Amino acid sequence: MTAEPASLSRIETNHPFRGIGGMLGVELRVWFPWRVLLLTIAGLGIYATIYIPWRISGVKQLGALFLWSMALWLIFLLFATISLSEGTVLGDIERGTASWLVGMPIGRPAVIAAKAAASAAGVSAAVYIVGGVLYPLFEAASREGVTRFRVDELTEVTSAPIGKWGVYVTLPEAGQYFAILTAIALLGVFLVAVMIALGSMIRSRTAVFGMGLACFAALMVGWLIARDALAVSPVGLVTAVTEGLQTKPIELAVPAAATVASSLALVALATWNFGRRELS
Amino acid sequence: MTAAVETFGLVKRYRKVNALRGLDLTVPAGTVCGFLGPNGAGKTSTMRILMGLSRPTAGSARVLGAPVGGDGLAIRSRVGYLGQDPSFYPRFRVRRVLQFAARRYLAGPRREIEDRVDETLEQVGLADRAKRRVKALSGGERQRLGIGQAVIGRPELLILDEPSVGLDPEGRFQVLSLIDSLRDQMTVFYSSHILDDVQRIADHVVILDRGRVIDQGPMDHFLGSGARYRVALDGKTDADPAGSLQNLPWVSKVSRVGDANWDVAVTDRTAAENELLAALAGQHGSAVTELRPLVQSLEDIYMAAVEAGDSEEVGHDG
Repeated sequence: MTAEPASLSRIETNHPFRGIGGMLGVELRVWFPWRVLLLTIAGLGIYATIYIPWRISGVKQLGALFLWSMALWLIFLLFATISLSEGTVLGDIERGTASWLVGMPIGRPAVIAAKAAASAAGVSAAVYIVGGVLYPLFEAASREGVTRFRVDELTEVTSAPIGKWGVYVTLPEAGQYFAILTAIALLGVFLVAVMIALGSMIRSRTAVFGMGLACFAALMVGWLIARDALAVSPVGLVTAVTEGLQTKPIELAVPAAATVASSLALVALATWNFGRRELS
Repeated sequence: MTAAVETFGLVKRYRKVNALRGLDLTVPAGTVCGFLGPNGAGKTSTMRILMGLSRPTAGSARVLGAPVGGDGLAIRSRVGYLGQDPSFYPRFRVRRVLQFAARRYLAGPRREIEDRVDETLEQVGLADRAKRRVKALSGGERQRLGIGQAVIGRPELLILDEPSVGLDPEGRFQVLSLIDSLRDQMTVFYSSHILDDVQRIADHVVILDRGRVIDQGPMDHFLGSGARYRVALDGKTDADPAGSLQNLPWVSKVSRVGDANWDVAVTDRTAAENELLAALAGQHGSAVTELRPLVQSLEDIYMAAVEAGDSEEVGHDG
């Protein structure tokens, strides 16, 4: 056998998370910069498509700009998270890359943990970058002299049916705005965990995608019909976002803690499944 | 001789398919061991179990003295592996694949790691392809990259699953030469159904069929046993040496293959070389015009072993 040079040594530590640093580096490159940039462009694009008619209309309602930008961005982001995450685990298994990785001294838990951490970081980064860029733009719009309007006036510009809510819209303070972004980011992280767990259990990417969408739909339906009963769950975050956008005081800590705990449980489930999975 | 790999009654069942049916094999340390078998014999299933990618239904295995099971990280630190049809991140460049693999096995200064990567690129003949993306490599280049990432940590055991399958003759030659060059550095256990490849570089052979080992041993054991000789007499007489040769204890079979030609199968090559000519001399006044060993290929032995396995199977089934 050939001896190693004195300065090179074989790594002998054999904990389950061995190799997580290298895996994290690889997985972060999946999200940074291109996916995050794509999500950022999409977020700013949504703003632009609302801002341009807002300028042209001359009505200049902050609600039309702010509420719709944030609501559409939330829906788009969660849908994009599902789309971008459906192959996070299954893609590597199908391509055979998972066998290559696990054939080296890399712990299976490290593979899943790195995927979950990198995806969560990518989604969160996109949320804060888009949110951070938009806030000064919303502020600039509000300085044009329009800071508080009834949402039912939105119908003049958007024909949206939300006028019946009769709420007033102002731009939230920076702290509240940051809390809203955090709630959106945590919803994204939760869906990442759902997709990783599904990918470790199911053998079809189409099925994983479909079930991810079903989970997203369940989240929204849960918010529509049982938001109080489901307050200590990710549904509580949807409530926090919608109420935060209306500048109402929001309760973030409990649903955030519940969402983080659920996400960790889902990643633990994915780790267990992936650890037992036969790789070809 | 210590064993690099041992399996004991290994069974692997996929739903209704029995891929392995009580596999007992031994790969001696320090050998280049060819793992021969037809498609579907269970070669890949065996290697996946050894690498911890798959779990046995029953039985056990030891790799480098350690039992296979659980996460297997301790084993994988000391083993290099190339799976069938290897797949790397397509966006990676060749150098990046080797850097990534090196850092999984080795700790040390960046410069030393880079030196090791350069050395491995040279070793596998990919130094001029270092900046290419993996997806732009040919099949042979990808296989050599696969061997490169498997040997970069200087493992004690290298497991290669069909490393030369699907390659053109030049690609096959390059891959086999590369494996041959590793002979004195590590134990190599590689599977193939290409008999010529195994005969060319293996010094130990395990023959597998339908999930069972049907024969195993050093290459000399295969090629040295069951030797055959072609005998030709001058043909001026009707001499037939078959009867007298059959009485010799080291002759197993004599077959006439022409008017004055016979094939003599022997069980002891040394005895044959010392005594066969004397035994033929004076056969009814005939002169021996030809006496030469018939080169027996691994293919002959393999086919005989598989056919014997088939007969046994029929016997058992019946």
